[in-house]
Amino acid sequence: MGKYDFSEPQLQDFRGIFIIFFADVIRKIRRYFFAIFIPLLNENFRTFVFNYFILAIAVLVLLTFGYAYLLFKHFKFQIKGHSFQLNQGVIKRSNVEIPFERIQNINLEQNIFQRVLNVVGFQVETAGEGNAEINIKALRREVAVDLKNQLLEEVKQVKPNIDLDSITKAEPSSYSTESLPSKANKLMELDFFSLFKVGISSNFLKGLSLLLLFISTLFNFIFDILSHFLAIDFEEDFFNRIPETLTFVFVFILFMLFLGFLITVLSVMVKYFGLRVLRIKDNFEVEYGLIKRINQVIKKSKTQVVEIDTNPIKKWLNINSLFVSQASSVQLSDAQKIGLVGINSSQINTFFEAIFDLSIQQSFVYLQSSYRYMIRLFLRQSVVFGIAFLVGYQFLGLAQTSFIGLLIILILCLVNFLAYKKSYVSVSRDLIKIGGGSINTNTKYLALHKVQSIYLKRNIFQQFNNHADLVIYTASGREEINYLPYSEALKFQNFILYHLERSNESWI
Amino acid sequence: MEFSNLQVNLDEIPDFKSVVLQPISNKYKSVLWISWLIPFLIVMLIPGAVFYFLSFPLLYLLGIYTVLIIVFLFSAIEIHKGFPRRKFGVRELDIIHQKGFFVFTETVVPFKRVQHVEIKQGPLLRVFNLYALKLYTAGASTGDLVINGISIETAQKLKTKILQIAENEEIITDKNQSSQDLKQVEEEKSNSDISNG
Repeated sequence: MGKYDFSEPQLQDFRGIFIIFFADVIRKIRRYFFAIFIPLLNENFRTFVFNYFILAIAVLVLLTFGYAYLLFKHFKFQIKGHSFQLNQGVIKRSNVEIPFERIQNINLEQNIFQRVLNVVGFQVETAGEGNAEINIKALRREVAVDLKNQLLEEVKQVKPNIDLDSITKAEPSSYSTESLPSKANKLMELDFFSLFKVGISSNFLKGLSLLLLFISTLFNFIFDILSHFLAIDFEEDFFNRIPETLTFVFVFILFMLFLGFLITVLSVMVKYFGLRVLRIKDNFEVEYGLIKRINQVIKKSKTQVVEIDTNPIKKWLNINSLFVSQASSVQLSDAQKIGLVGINSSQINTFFEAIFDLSIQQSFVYLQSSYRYMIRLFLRQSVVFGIAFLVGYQFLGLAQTSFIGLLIILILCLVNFLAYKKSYVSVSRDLIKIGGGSINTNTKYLALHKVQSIYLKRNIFQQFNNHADLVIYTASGREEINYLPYSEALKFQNFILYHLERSNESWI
Repeated sequence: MEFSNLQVNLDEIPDFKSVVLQPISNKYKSVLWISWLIPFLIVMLIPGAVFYFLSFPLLYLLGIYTVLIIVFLFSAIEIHKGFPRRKFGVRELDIIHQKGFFVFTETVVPFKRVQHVEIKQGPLLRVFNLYALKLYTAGASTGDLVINGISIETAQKLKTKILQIAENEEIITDKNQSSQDLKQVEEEKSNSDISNG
């Protein structure tokens, strides 16, 4: 019996009100950003309506706080009967009961607000879903630890054979090293220099596209506002002069690329700050994050697909990225995969052998995608390219647009060629290896016995030219390999089914 | 492409293409046509009605109708040419299903990966006394196999056979603790599948 009695409905720590409040405020600012800040730039608005505007904001803030208080008052948890229960909600009431035997994970976390207020977030997860089912936002640390221990005792009573280490982990760490749990050993820990290497070698197209999105929404807006303040007709002076200088366009593009690069590096470094991976028997505990500290467990049995991603810069720096997809009831997006970035080759080998009980060096039989895959890629890109070309034609004129268009086509030719060359499927006695990527090289490994179902897909053209797409389903989603020769793909499908059906191993 | 270095005799591996597949009920064709006809009638009337009440250039109307006709034409071709290809087959350890004209898919689901089986009947199927057999796996919902347009006897025979084999497999793999994980993921998946219909 612990120090605290959880058998009666409990409120969380009162600081939870602030956690709920701040989270709500941030959400509202994100959503209504433009509605709040745009009016402020209008001079008329500032003189006449400003005071009322401030009053309205103040009222909204008060209401948000009041609602946060109500939410806090209606958030009650307890240990009752054979389950851990939560009642929450003011308007939408919900009651969640998790029987002890269904508890898969108990996590203690701290995001930046929780760290400032010196409270701890408490999560109880069941299998399958990626989101925690019970999430208590503010508890004093000793209360949280006591609750965790009491729950673990209950779990142990219903599942006596369970290894408690697989359910929970060490308390959220600070960034300095701590004493490790006795049975754990460290697989990897990212020092700052490695983190930097990860940042500069990541896929900066993502950062660039985010930046472009942001810029494009602000672009017209900025010019409108500036022209009001400065009494210049930008359309006349500015826009008509730009096309005359192609170099200006190039400089602008280069600047955007650099900015996108910078944003990517910074966001990756913040996301994976202090990455630490501990190995506890057959499972791995992963911790990372600067603003939001994430704690996750990679379970050998739950792991479905292991993905290794690299690119020329990563190769030069001797690092890779490894992503794990575990069993889930929904298709996993990239953000939901657990990432071990900055991992080196020997760490990959250790991890691979722990998860698959096999060395990463296996004898595989390969099947490459056909060159027709490039045609499909070009067709898909032509839509966006066509639209972009029309837009460019409007603003920059035919000559400039054609030149840029030609450059883009050359780049696409290279990218699509690489994509076709790198696309393959391969099998060994126990594993399936799927290749992908274009500028980056992506390799996915999954155990053959973890396949759920397979199908071959042929569109009308493929039915003519005897090619097919092979789709493999696992418990973490689907994997598709494009434009394989049909008869060989059939052999692969038969092979996989044959061994899968004769294996006695479970997929989880 | 040599499988020999994987120490497998290719002749031993059964080819699912060699299985003789059986077609689904012919009445299902009517179901498909009705579910094509009703949207067709509704959608075709809308531009005409809008044209009647708010006038816009006849050229636009013709353009819209051309696009609509092309779309419905393609789906009609898909029904007419695709129906004969809808077949399924049962082997000792898995079930095979194929369908489609413009996109032809051949799916194989091993029985041991089937989480649960449902025999469903929507209102349209009820008119023709047909049923649909839905197999849920642990993959994403799009990986679930649906065999539409079979009789109740066929559906029940299939269900029994699948569950029989799936249960035998459970006994073999149920030894370790990770079967707890299995049951939990099964429940999660079935709950989300039921709520998604």
